[in-house]
Amino acid sequence: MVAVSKGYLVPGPDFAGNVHSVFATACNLAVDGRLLTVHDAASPHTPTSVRVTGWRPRAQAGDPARCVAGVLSFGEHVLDLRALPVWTPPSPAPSVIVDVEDAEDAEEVARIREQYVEAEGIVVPGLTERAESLLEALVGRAESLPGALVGRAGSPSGVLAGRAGSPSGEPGRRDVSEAVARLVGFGPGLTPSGDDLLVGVLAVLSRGGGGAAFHTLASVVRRHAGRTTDVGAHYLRLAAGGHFGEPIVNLVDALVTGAGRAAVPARTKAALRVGASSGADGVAGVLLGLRALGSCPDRKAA
Amino acid sequence: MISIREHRIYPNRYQDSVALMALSAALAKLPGIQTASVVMGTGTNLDNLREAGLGEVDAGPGDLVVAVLGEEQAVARALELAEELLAEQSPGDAGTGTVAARQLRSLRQAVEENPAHNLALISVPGAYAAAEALKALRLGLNVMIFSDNVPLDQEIEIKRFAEEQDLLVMGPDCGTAIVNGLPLGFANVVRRGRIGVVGASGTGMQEITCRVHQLGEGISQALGTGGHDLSAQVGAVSMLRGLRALAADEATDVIVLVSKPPAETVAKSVIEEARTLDVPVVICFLGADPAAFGGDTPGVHFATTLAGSADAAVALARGEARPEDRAVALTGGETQPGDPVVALAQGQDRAGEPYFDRVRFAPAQRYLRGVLTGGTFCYETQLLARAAGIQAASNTPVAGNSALGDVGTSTGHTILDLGDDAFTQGRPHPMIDPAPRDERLLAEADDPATAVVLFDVVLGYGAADDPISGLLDAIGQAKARAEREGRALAFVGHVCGTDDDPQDRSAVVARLREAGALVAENNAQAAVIAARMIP
Repeated sequence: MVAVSKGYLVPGPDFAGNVHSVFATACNLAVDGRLLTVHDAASPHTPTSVRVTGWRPRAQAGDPARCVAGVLSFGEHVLDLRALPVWTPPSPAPSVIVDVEDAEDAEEVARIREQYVEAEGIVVPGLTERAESLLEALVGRAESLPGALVGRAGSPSGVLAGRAGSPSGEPGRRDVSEAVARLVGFGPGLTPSGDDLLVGVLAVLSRGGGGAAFHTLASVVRRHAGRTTDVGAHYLRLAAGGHFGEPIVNLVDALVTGAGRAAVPARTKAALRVGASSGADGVAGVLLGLRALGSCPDRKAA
Repeated sequence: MISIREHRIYPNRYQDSVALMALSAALAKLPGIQTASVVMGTGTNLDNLREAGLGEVDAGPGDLVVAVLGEEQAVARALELAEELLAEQSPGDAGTGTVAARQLRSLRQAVEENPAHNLALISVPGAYAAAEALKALRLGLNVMIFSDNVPLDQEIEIKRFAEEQDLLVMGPDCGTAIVNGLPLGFANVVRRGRIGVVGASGTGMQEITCRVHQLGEGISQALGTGGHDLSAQVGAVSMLRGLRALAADEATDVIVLVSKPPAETVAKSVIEEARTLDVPVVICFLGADPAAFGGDTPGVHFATTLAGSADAAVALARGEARPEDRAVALTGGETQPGDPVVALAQGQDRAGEPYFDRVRFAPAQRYLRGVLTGGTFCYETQLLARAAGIQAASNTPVAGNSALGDVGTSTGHTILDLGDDAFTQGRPHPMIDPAPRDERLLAEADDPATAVVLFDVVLGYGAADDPISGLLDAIGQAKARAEREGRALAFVGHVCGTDDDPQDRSAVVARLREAGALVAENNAQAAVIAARMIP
């Protein structure tokens, strides 16, 4: 078993923690309030993951985990993290081009997602309504802050660069908080559907230039993160800090920059393959985020 | 009837969302149950349970909650069923992967669970693979051995025993197979059809099966044999068994055999066997001279490239004339108007000038540098480049080429197999983790003596989810540096895969072309174009 790469937020070279949870193809290690995930190389990077080949977890929850001079040991495992390739996402696009083709791309993403959700039978009742409430809250807030979200194509000072007014819209913040509270921890699974959706929304706002809206949503998400599972909370806190997994970064970047447009279908499929239903929920969040940015047609996101 | 509500809490228990949704649905369908929900005990989910009339539940976010409402006996039955189903399910993974299947602890358990199981895939360290294979064979299972480093005497023992049991052994070191439409190991998503393949070459089989798919036909079975099967010691036991199996298969109309050159006596025995069959057989023994084996006969057709063998098989399946293998013809001949290779190159150039005439190399740029992840692609490239007059160094040289002294440093024309042991000790194959390929490509491009950089991209199951983002970065960096230094670089590649692969071949090809690479239709074509571009 060999470590082949790691995410850019994996600490080192020295740290200590313990094994938080053990699954068939992954282990979570609790280190300094964050989860570090050791998982099979077949799965894509997250900011805090170590990818290994030939992975079979041989550890128990509660076991100590220790990294000394870049060599990580826990349970029966010893992994050399020195000189590993480090996955780092590209910097977010400096500006966003919102045009007709963007809308077409979003249509394509929505179509692929719908087919996937139907084929996999992973519809989560109630998620759509909660998602729509979030959108209304975000857009309502934006309307109280001219330029943050309501500006459309050709409005680089608004949507595109995200140079919104000061975050003074308390009614909007309260609405966003209520909507987020109804999503965090909502749905089945290790990372509940509502969490995954919020990660998708935050990814678009973070990397697509939704500056003020991102900061509002991120601060609210941080406040509510304790209401969900440990793993869900971990990914929510990362997202609130602007950190996302590789498939969602790749998809969002293709959508918000218009570059690599041909890759959108493949990147959508890659994002959908994350977890059991996490991918589909995350992509729903991306679509919702695009609508918040004003670059997606009026389509139900979830 | 009076309804009651009850719940069970399973502390610190995680299941993936699909499993929980399926469990909720199963419970809700039981007679006498009004509503049921199986969720993690997050605050929001507990609120929802209360709103749904499932009562107050005191659980934490890490707890799994099963809550049901219905008639008393039905509720008891539902909670029992939930207990049983949860006990059957292993924990799912940490939100980044797939649902773990029920864990089986032995091959015997698997056979007992379902006697219809008839194939075992073995992937354990080579020292233990033979013992596991023999266990499987004794249980009546055919075997695919993914493991490498299995001693040859053990391979012979396994295959002899399998012959006695009338069973097939694929491998050792069998990385690719498609059995009854199911891709195993490194394999691509291809449609099912009437062309069967038996191969001692993993990427060779991938290239052929993908090309068959691209041409509109499909694959009945693709059976790997492992790289040593056609050695004199082993005697093509697996290839012969696969050949006979496909000949007896009603779904197979044409068979393709592919391998690097076998031992001569072994090749003769395989060809003799093929000539006795009613099903036409296309034979691609890379680097072997068909004339030495009697050349084409009505039932046996030789091909000298991977793509050419797929083209021949498709033509035979359709009852059409076999097309000329232009890649081979072009290694020594002149281009012709309308030639597909030239047309491809022209397609890259808005001015209509062939790509390989358009790139203006600096005087010092003289060499071809191949960075290939497919072992057979490296082999085929060397053969075609040799035929075009290029003598190259390689870590896996073909006859007439030289062994590279230091695999870390290229010299003159160099064509590398980056999947060879020399590059993969202690690290994954570059088809899984392409970063080393991208680094080497950049290093080759930085050499002022390099003119053409040749690469491959392999898609499909087992290959990297995103095999080209790093490659595109490397090409971009290399081009920028070369431009600053007054050099022009040509990047020529091919993508082995299909549009149905998870990585989507069309999207990958489009991105590479967007980055300025010439993307050929197949490996042979890429090799010929690259060789012809050398000044």
